[in-house]
Amino acid sequence: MTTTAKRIWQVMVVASLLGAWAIAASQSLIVRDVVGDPFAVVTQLFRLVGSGEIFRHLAVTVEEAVIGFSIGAVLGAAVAFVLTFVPFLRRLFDPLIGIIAVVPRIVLAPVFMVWFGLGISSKAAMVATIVFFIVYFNVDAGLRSVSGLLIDRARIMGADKFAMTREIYIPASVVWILSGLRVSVGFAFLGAIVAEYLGANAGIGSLIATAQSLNDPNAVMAGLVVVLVVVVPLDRVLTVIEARTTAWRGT
Amino acid sequence: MSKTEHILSGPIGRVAVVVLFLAAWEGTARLGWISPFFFSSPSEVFDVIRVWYARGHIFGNMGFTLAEAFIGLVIGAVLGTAIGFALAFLPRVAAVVEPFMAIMNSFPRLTLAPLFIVWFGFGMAPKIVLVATFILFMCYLNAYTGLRQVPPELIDRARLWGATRWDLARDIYLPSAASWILTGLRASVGFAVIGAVVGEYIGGDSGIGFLILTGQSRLRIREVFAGLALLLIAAIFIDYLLRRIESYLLRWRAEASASGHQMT
Amino acid sequence: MRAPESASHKPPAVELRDICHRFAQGGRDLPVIEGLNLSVKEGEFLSIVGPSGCGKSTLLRLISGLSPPTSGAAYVNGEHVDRVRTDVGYMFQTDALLPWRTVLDNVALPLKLQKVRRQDRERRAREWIATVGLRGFENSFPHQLSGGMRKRVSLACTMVATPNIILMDEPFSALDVQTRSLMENELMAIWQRERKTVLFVTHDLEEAIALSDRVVVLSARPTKVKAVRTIDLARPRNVLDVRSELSFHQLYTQLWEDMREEVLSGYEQERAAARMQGADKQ
Repeated sequence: MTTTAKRIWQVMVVASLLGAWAIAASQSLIVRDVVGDPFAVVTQLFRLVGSGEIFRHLAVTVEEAVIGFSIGAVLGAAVAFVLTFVPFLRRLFDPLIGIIAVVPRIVLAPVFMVWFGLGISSKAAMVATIVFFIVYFNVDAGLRSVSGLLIDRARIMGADKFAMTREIYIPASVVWILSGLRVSVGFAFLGAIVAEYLGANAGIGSLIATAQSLNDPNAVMAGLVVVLVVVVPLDRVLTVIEARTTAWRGT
Repeated sequence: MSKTEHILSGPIGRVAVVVLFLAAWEGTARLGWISPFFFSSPSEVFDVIRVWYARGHIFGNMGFTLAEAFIGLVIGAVLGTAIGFALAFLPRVAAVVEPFMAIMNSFPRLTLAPLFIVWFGFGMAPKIVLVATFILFMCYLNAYTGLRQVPPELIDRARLWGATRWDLARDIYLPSAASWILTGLRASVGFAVIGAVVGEYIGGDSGIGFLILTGQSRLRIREVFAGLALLLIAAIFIDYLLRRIESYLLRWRAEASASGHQMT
Repeated sequence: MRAPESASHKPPAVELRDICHRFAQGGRDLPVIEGLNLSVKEGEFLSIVGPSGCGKSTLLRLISGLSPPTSGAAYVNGEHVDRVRTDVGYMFQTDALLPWRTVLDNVALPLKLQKVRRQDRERRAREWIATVGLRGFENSFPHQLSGGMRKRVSLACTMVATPNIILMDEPFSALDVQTRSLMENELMAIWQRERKTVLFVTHDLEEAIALSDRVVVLSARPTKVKAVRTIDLARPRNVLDVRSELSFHQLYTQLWEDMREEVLSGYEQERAAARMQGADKQ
């Protein structure tokens, strides 16, 4: 199939789905009440963008994600390093980390709501916790993957512990942080938005949550379209970065 | 390694570390070094669980949450595997649909929860749909990858032995994809529980997530911790069960290296 | 299509007529095989050697019907190959075992696909497992076996389907030297007993000489038959002992002379291809 034919089919699939939705919504009040109406969703989007309201909310969500991501990534990498170089601590903490790892971190959101309230800090804490574990496991795997052979070679060449850290361990872990980047950025946004659902006064998640509580499907859809427009392209870009930076690993 | 370290790394050591952690938590709470409002204490959390148990809160809510997770998991797994097979065998359709699947896959699907609640109300249905959307993509990706990773020699050889398309699907493609799907499923179970619990956070009137959320809204951290502890126990139990099932079904695979030198 | 007439009364087991084969590679049309003719007698053990990338494996795929030639035709027992030949055995470089099936189930698979009754296929599979020396491993999974043992299973899989013609594509190249000699002797013993027609692709001249009745040397791309040498060493052979015979060395020298030029030009082609790939990437 040629690329053009493929594109035409893709446009037709989207158009027919939207068309079916629009027709159903125009014919039935129940459909309109439950799943909304595509034209109303578009109107909502225009209103959100036109009034600038959306940018205020986006800025809050991005801020939460960025703060949380930075804290989580730095702590995750640091803890992985410490536990790798101090085996005693690793034996002490491995069981606890293993247990916490079984629980999906996002369910901890209510804890942070109690601890930090409705503001930005509770969301940043949620994001930091999620990112911490992703980065910790990635860097840990990266440090483990530094093969004994490589270390032996470096030692024969006369590398001391500092040289080894600089030349081998840090490059290895940086690449593994990058390789987890796409996943962790996605989860950073997810964590921020879900935490906003549970209680917030600003952010994309709170926008959607408010619409939900008002039972307004059009506004919920409009909010989700904004998430789609922000997150999906970001994910594409990060996929490319990930592929480039990890090319040396083969697959 | 010294003797203490050796003991620590064994199973007894693991339990000991957890007990030690709980003791430290309890001790610091009793001594008033940490705020009971923010951190509660193991004994308080245990009390909450005991009261819930006495009032019959636990089994109903746990059953509710696990039922959502399980039904969603089954629906998602069946649909996802079916889509994976369909796309692997219909490359023309795959070419058209693949970009949509990629977009949906990189979309944080958990954020769809409010939408499903508006659509399906506050009962089990929106959580089941949320879990199913979650699992569907994981199973689709695993099935699709598994099917495309079948070594061509296997197919060639089977064709030379006179295998029909049906033979290939049953004897080669399905078992080959099964190992991917099963591995994916075990990873998915955690996500299924998250889907159910987060769905309950966002709108619901029963389930473990609802218990936790109620605790949050009353600012009672001990109730939040109690709910999380129940989830933790359930998660560990389910994970153990699935490991056993997986290692039985996939006993033909080489054991993952115990030395911990795995790449991912 | 009617079978082509041949000199003897019986048609050759395998015949290739004016085979041309092209690959589309990076927008360029690459002729791999050009005007290749070859005839293999029934019960003959024939090895095919040639520089890397000359399309040795492609030849086997054409004979088995797994891929059609661009032009020309292959005949098996006088029949034009126009579909997958289910009466041909094929051994790949990889062992191509199903990892989720036990040794017994792997060896029984070809019989299952040929709709042989359950009891019969189990009996026949067990016989072949014993023949290749794996009695006691019937219920092991492939990952529990060594490379050499997996190769034996693969051989049993190939033989159990009672093919008339066996195509082998560097089957032992992944094995270590000792295991390899053992497997070669085993193959010789089986061949001596069954007298099937074997086409054996290898890049190892010594292996080719030690095993074969005839050795075909292919040229570098575009591939034709460069030389055909008859190996008149006595049978039955031991692949290790035969290497110390004087005529073995004469044959080796002769074949190496045939090949030298082709290997060098094959090497040049690979380097040129690598350079082009490098240029494409930039």
